[in-house]
Amino acid sequence: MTATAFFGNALTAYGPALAVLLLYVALQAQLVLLLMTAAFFWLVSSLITSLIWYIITPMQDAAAHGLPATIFVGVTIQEGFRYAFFRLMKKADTGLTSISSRPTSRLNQPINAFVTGLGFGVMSGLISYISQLAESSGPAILPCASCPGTDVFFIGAITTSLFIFLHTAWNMIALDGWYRGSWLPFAFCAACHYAASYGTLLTPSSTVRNGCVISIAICAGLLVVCAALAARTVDARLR
Amino acid sequence: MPFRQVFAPQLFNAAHFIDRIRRYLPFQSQAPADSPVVIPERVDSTNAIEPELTEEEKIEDLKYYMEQIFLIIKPVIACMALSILWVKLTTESTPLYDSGIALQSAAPTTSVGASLGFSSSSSGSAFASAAGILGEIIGATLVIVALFYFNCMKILYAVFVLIVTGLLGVFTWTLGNQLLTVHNLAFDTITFWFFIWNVSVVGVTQIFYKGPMILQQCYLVFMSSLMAHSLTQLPSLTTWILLALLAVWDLIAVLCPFGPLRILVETAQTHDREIPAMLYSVMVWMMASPGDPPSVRGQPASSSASITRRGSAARSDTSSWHALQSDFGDASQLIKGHVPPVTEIEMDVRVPGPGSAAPESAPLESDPLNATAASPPANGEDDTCDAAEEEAEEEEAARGGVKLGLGDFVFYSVLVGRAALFDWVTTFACSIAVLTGLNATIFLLAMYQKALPALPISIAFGILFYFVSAITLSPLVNFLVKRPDKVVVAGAEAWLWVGQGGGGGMVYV
Repeated sequence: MTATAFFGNALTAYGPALAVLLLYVALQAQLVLLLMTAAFFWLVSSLITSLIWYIITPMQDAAAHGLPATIFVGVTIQEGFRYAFFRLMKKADTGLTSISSRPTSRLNQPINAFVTGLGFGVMSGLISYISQLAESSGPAILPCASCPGTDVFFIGAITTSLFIFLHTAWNMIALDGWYRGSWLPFAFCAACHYAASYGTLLTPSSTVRNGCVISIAICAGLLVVCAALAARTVDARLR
Repeated sequence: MPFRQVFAPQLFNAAHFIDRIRRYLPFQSQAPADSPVVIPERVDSTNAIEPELTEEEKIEDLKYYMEQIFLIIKPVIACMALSILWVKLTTESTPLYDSGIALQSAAPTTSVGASLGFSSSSSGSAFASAAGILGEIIGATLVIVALFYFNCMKILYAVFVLIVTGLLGVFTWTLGNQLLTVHNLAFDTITFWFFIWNVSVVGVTQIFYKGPMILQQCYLVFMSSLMAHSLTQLPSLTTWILLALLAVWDLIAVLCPFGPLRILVETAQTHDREIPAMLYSVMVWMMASPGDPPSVRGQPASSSASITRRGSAARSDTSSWHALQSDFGDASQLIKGHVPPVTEIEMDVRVPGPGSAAPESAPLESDPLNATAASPPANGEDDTCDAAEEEAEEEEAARGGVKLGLGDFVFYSVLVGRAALFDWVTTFACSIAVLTGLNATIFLLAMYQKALPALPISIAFGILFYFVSAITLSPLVNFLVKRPDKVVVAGAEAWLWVGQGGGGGMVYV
């Protein structure tokens, strides 16, 4: 299970995002820049999370309530940075529209939201999963605690690929709401983010049977709902 | 010649004095009095054009810089990826038995303290060696700038050919040796030397003579990744000190009034000489320079400069060396006439490009009027070679654009390679930080329209993100993955995961 596991996990986790990156984003310079800026914002948010986690030592205790607390802090800061990035984009909005390939298109804002969301997702996927991917090239598997018989790294790969697109959908929904002046879509996205992240707590749990299936099902279900909502924001623009 | 006087800032006002000094130089290049090129007044493009820029032109400029960032980021990413690959390939040794032979390659540092370099007890020597490397870089820069300042282009190119040959040969040999040793492969010496000979000779002809643009870029990226790899072999504390010092030096060199790189740019402006693309691509050079955005290109104010530039760029379908030949053709012809020793050097240099270089520069040389008259031959030649025009235009976009020095490539990659020695999370954090710094630099370039140091922002971001992510982020990421207890087998770089019903899982934030 060395090279096989490595390539299988890598393509499961990053394959879909890579396809979108290479076939759509990489064709336009402006989109690449937006994606990189968004990735930088996500990175800063996670660095701040990690600083807080490092300073407040009780959060480092996995046996007690370290994990839920870390998730709470992490998700809150990420969503805060989503808003900060929206403020930045709103300031640059006229510029962003005028330098896009089709300045008159009504889809510019949704496209930018999609690409920045993808930037958030890709960076979070890279940072969260890449070291496990490197470990998964080792000559064994690590059984998942909640469903023995499956590989931790493979479950992680599926979760990662789902989260990349969850971030994309959340960004589209939240930014569309902010552009219309409404905070309700953002509240929904934040709630979804908490739900999905707390759902992944079931994966390493040793008491819940089939926890990894439940956690993936939560993520996939949320992805379906959020993708439908994101599609509706695009649809509303076209009307 | 008193060195200090030449580099004193007030001398830029007294151009005639410099000319007088130049006449006494052994490698006297060109006395402006009898030069065929009348230097047109170069309008400071920023100040003169700024108020006339309409909204559309601004948008055009912005789009142009977007495309330029896009063009530059690809080779930077490629270079980083290559140097990460070299680091991973040369350290990924998993000896399951103790052979008793100490491996030369730097082992991956697994503790934060080691990554800071505090494990080595000699921090004073780390500073000294970093300062030594910095001194070499400063010395090289000064020499190159002096050569350019006194227009000794032939010597400059001879030096470059030597350096590139040496770099490609030696570093390929080092890396090849290291790869073979680490992976315990057998390979015969003759084939190995043959391979290295081919790599370096093809590289030199690609870079200095002619070849497809993409191949030239590949070679330059390859070369800088090799340099970066050899620099990651330094002890980590030395690397950090070196990077910080370099960022400071870069600021001084490009922005201070007496900084060598600034002198270079000003020389190029006052004498209306192009800084050849080769200088950026070959020299260990830390500067980003703005290309000519659409608004500047169309302006009649800097017409002669931009026309000759475009002419030479259009002709550069053969090679950048030729563009250079035509840019400096007049000067080189004069050298030929005057100083015998330089002719020899020139002969050496000319070896790769027989024939075609001389006819190209001939019209420029024979034309006694001025630089603007140099444009008709260029245009005429454009008409004659219609077939190659499309290709040439594509390449013009790549060649005439924003330029980034090779030194920037190298030291970005050094930082990322150093991070790759530590951890994957840190590697990606550093890469994104460096790329964002590069974006910010090019954004500033678009705003200020002058040569800017490309290292400081990126290096500052990179170093900051390295330490924060090495100390806090990668422990956090590890914390989010539950694993059973790990038993590390002493002596072997392997471990076992143990525990009854043990298992793990990943929590995704």
